[in-house]
Amino acid sequence: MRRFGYYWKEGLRNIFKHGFMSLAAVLIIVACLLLTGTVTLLAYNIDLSIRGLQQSSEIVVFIDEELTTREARSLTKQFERIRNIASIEFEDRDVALEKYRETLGEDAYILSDYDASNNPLRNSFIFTLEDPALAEQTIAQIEAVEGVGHIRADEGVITRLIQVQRVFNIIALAMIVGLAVISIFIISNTVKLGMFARREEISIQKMVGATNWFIRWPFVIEGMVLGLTAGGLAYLAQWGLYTEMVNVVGNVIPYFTIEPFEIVRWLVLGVFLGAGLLFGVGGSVTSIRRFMNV
Amino acid sequence: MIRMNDVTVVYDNGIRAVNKASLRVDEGEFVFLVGASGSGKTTLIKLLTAEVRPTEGRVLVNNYNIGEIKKRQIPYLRRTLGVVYQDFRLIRNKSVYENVAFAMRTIGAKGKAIKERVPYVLELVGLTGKAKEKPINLSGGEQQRVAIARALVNNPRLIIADEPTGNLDPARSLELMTLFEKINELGTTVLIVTHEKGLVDEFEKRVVMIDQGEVVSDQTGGYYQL
Repeated sequence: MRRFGYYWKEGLRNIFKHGFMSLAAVLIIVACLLLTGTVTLLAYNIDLSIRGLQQSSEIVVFIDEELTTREARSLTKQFERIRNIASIEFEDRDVALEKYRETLGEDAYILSDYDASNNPLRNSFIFTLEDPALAEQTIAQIEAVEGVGHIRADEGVITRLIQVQRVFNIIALAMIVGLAVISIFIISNTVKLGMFARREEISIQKMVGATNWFIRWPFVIEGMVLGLTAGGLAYLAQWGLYTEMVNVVGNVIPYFTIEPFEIVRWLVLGVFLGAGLLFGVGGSVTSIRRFMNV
Repeated sequence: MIRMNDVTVVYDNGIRAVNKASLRVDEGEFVFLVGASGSGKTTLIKLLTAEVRPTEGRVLVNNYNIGEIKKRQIPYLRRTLGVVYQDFRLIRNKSVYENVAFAMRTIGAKGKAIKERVPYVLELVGLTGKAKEKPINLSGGEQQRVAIARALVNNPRLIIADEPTGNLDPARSLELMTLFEKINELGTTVLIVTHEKGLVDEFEKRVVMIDQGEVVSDQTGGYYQL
């Protein structure tokens, strides 16, 4: 406990002794965390939107006109055997005609000549898929069922969205790794500066019998405090930036799903503080080694 | 205390700094280690503090085998030693008191023990009135006394001084040697590396002479033979 107090005192003293460098390190790490956080949150929201689109994208299967409504409905059992189908909904051609009338509203008079005897619409099935990435194979299986007339699906769009999502995830990952390396480098140099200024003190400590960890701890604490401060500040900045982003994106692209900050706030805080701690301690430990060989 | 048997140190660049040297120093002894510049004295000191390892032979210091000592054990070996250097190696921005207390704090001493021990050691070296001074305000002799106080404060079994009078005038050098003699009389073993013939002859202690890395003479009550 006594030593712990000493480590903290020395660590904080280092920070204030090289105030400008400490401030620069904190600001650069805040910038790194903010950039990484923004890209990651954007990737997360794009992922959410894609999932939403995938789940809402339906495959509509129109049944041959030659089949009666009862015969068409009986195809349900065959469709149920196809693995990737998540839900099956049968739409009776007469119900479809009624729905169409409702959709047309005031213009429904154009269908006034049609009724059950001369209904131009077909019986249909509406499917949703468990894994939209397998849409092509599933459509092929549906087509193979006898009685299927025409299929309407947006599998091309789904596939493209998945590709975009993958590219975005790779970019986000590359940025996270790159910015983490930059942050560790910056902290490492800040701590190195403190160690260089105190190299004589360190060599004396070594000569009078200080253990390596006794010498290391103040510098580890310095890196930890810098990292945590940067993590906390980055969290506040991310909060403001994200809230602004929600407003702007909500106005510009209304159908883009974006989670409110409250949903992700604890995760962001935890990740930022954890990353700050990791960068801080990682930076310190990497810079200490060469000063220890006395 | 110190046991060296046929010790050789060859540096990476091929220089043979110590050549089959043997030396034994027992508890309570006062020994001068003398020799010309480049004779291997400093390497011998570095062997004792485990800054270098023997290439051949066996070195025992306060029961630590330097050839086999693990890195994590080195701090504990050094706590049994007090080392004094020619250039004092004091921390400029700390007071005399802090410079000495720092050595105790480094090995985890309690505040109460520091408050008791530091004034005692400063009194022993004759610096009671200088506790609050910064090293830069002290003379060379006084700075070396601070370094001795720092070496003594953790109550080491062995004090090693590497050319401690190298930066001092003859009068201050004599005072300092008298202080080492007093420390030795209080029970601490003292090993002083020097090439100052006059001082060595003045004290008539055991003199070990080293030349080209070899121990060439070892005489108790001896003189520095050129």
